[in-house]
Amino acid sequence: MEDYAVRVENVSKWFKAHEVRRSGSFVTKLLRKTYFKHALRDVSFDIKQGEIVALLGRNGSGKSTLIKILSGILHADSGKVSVLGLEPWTERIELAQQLGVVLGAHGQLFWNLPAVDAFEYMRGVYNIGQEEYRRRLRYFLKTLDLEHVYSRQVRTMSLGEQMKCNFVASVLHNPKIVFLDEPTIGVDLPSKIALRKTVAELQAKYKTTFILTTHIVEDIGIAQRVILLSRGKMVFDDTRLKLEAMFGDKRHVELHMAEPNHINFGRYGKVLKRGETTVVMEVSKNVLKTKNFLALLNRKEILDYRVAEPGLNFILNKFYAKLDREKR
Amino acid sequence: MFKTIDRYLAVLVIGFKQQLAYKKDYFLTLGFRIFASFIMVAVWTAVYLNSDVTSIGGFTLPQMYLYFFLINAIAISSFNEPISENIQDDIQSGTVTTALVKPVAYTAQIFLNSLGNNIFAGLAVTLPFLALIVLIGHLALSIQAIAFFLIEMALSFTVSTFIFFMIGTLAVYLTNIWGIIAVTESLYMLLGGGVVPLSLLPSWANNILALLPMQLSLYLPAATLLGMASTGEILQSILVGLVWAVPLFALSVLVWNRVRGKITSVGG
Repeated sequence: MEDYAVRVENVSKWFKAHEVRRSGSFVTKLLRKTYFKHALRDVSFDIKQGEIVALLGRNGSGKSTLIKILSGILHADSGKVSVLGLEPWTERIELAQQLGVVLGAHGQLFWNLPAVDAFEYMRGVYNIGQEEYRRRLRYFLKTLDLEHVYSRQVRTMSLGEQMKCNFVASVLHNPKIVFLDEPTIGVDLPSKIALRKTVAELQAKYKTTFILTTHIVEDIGIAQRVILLSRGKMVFDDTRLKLEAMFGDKRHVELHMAEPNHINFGRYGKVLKRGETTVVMEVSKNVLKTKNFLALLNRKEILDYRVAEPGLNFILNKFYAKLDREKR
Repeated sequence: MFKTIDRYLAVLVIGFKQQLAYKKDYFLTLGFRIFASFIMVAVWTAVYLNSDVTSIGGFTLPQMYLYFFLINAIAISSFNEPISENIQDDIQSGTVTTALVKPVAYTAQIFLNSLGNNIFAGLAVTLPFLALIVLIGHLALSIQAIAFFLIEMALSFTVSTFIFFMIGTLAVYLTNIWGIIAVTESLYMLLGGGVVPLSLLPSWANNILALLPMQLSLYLPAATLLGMASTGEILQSILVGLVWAVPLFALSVLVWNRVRGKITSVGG
């Protein structure tokens, strides 16, 4: 058994895309402009068995294309891909038995049928033994609080319940690799936590590899590693902690004042938000200890203050802004 | 081997269950089909009453009534038009991606799923409707007629599956193929004897239609149950169906091999 779950070497993918012309005569507007879109450019990385990797990037950065290539739905135009030692698009059926794919809210479910019918369907399609099926289903229903939901018609479920059932349907057969595309959209907070916990448990117990695409920052917390795509190119591949440390010299300082005043906060750092009696600033770590800044905190107009490390949200936003600047 | 059968069975069962969710729709369909038959009854009554003949194309008026009742009973389960709609829906809604990550070939999924649908339609509409016709119309059925009827239905389903499968694959290029499906279905009805019994047509047209597989779907099963098709005619049509099945299957495989790489679904 090879140690790597996924190996991607110099993968590129183009798409033929169409665009409607917005200017010109009536006839030219009717004719679409065809162009080639570079969805992935020379992407390379390895993922070891049992890793949880967050695949991040803005809309249209190539995440879904990459997931579709890894699961054998699309083929790469150049480069090599090996998933569990198989080439996904030529050995799709063999690979499918060992893959779990969560796409959208109810992709694995049947709109007019209860979720349990979809689970039964998975049992048949993936040849799960009766005993194992019951044991795993019991476990998922309990941990994800679905015991009172799973025998109801999918269309009567809330979005969050659909997402959870969809997740269960995708992992019932104990896949070696799971692709999760936005797994927690519309899911309430306790369920989000339960989903993340389940992912962590599956990883610890079965060494399941998870590749996760998400725009929800808290989800990224379960990943040890982050791969960032921008316009089809890989721009970051390292641990989550490294990403968090990238802009780590900044702190967010929140000040509360008794009444509106004219203090020039711009002197100390970038003002992110200014209300009548509150200010949020981004301040360099070394400015925090300067006499000037300490004097500011000690001024009688300042009632209270809070210093916090910037969240992943902020860091990603900075990162994207940096990429935009570089592009220009 | 058993594992593969289990997989296929699961797909078949889910196709059946999905239709089970539309139970009420099937009662409506049954009602609508009976109503539609009465429209043809009215039309043909007018035709017979305004002409001097007692038989048109070998059909007396009561036989004509029974013919159209039978056509309406059979049409819902004898040809596999839903398979094209299913492919179109899969591509439009993006569920094709979920289907493509299952350890069962997409072609097998789409075929078995529609087989499940059709078996349900057969049991929910065709069977009760046929029972009504047999009881009310005092239709005397021989074992041989029933056996031929079932063979014709199975063969018709198989051949039409290949045709409508290929129509469905057009969705990969065109996304919305509703119009094409509707036209093909109408052609199927026309060439299969769903609009007028084929025996009414001039002999040259009949000679051409006898070489096409469409009559297996409507005219022939109805004529078989009515006892109006000779054994020779039935066997010849079955042979024609079998001869069509082979190249249509090969063509479907060819078309699918060309198309499969192009499937990406909308939004992906």
